[in-house]
Amino acid sequence: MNATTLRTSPDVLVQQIGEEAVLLDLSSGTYFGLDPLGARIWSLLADGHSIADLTNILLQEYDVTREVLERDLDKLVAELQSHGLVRQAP
Amino acid sequence: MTGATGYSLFGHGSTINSHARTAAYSRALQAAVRPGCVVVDIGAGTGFFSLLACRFGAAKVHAIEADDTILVARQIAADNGFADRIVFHKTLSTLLESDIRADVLVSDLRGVLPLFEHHLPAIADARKRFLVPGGSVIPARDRQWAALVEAPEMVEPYAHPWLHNEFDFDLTAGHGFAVNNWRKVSASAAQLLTPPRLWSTIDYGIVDQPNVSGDLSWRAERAGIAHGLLVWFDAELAAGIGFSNAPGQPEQVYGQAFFPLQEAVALETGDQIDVQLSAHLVHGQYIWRWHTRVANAAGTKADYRQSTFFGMPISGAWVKGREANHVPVPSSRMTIDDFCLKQVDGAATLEQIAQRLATRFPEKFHTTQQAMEHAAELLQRYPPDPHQDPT
Repeated sequence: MNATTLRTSPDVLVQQIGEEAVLLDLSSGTYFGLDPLGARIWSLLADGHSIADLTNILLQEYDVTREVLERDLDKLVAELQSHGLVRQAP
Repeated sequence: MTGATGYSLFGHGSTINSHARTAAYSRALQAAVRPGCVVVDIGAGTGFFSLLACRFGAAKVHAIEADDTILVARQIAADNGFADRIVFHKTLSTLLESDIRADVLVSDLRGVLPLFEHHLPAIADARKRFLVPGGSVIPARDRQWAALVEAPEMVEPYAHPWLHNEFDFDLTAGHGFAVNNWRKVSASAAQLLTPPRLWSTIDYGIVDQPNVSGDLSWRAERAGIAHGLLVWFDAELAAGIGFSNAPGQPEQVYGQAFFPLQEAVALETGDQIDVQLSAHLVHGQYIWRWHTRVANAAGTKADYRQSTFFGMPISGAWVKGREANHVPVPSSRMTIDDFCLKQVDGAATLEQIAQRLATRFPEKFHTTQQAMEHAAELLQRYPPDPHQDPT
């Protein structure tokens, strides 16, 4: 994990109900569902936290090892990037 | 305002009764139609524009309407002596495969605003496929205007029952959704808190994509309570011919769209108001966004990000069912429908299909009639291909 900051796409709308979230990418018309952890990660990304910051915050909030968290985070971020929902901040 | 989107016959009558609108369409058609020309009427409804085109000398009119209203249109065409000049196509214009070459394209597929369902894609498609170069498109363009309004009665349905109700229940959980819905209203000119600003212009002669976005700004010229954003359109059907839905103009069938502010804002003279308003067509419905900021030298008074996407709760389960990696699992309903569809061979009647269905699934269908209703409903989802449609 590193100091990379990802920017959420301005074309994405987020509806949060309870701890879950639903994303709608207006540019593609595609919906995405996020579980509670995914929703929290999205929220932190939208607030401008770097991946490193975000990892530390989540380690305090969730009972999870750094290794497992980083693996899950890598997977989610890759998926979000592949759909154009986030991109690397300049 | 016609189309295969559930307009009732009564609704079609209301659009014709919308006098300024219909009179303007009549004048525009009279100006565009030359003796012997060909006209395409998209979303023809009861075929009123088709009648006008015939009256003004069209040799042939293609009236395209997917709804069963076309049955009435056919009768009306005959009753007015135009049956031999109007060709009816019972389908959506975007599904019609035809070599039509039209001189005039006329339509009114709007809702309260021109940004309504597949209106813009349908016009763009028909223009490209059916209109001769240099042909006329009616309407020519719509201009969409916006202004802030002071209108407490317009926000009442957003407050009641969610924030207060006579049963003393706490319904506030619904309020956040409610205020992200726009609704049709009829506003007076006196309710405008700011001057109208042009938000966007849709030129039907060139429009090619359905999404619209634009920024609006005002410096408040007077104090008042801003309850929401009012949006309406003025139509230019042809050069010098049109009608307006602006507050204060004779009321037409369209009215205006009221986008509530999350909370009312007390404006003072000199306040800066900025609104980003956008509409994206997603799966046949527009998703609206309105981001409203009000500020003055003392700071920000309001910063509301609203969207119709926030107007209805969406479950994670619904979304999961649409995701690319979703794995659907077989169900008894699928088995029944699969069996039913496989009985369609171009020879079996609905009753025969229903009998087979009832025999195969007796636990589901206790009578042939029940099976017939199920089969009819299922099979009507698959209308004949347009070129096979005898109508």
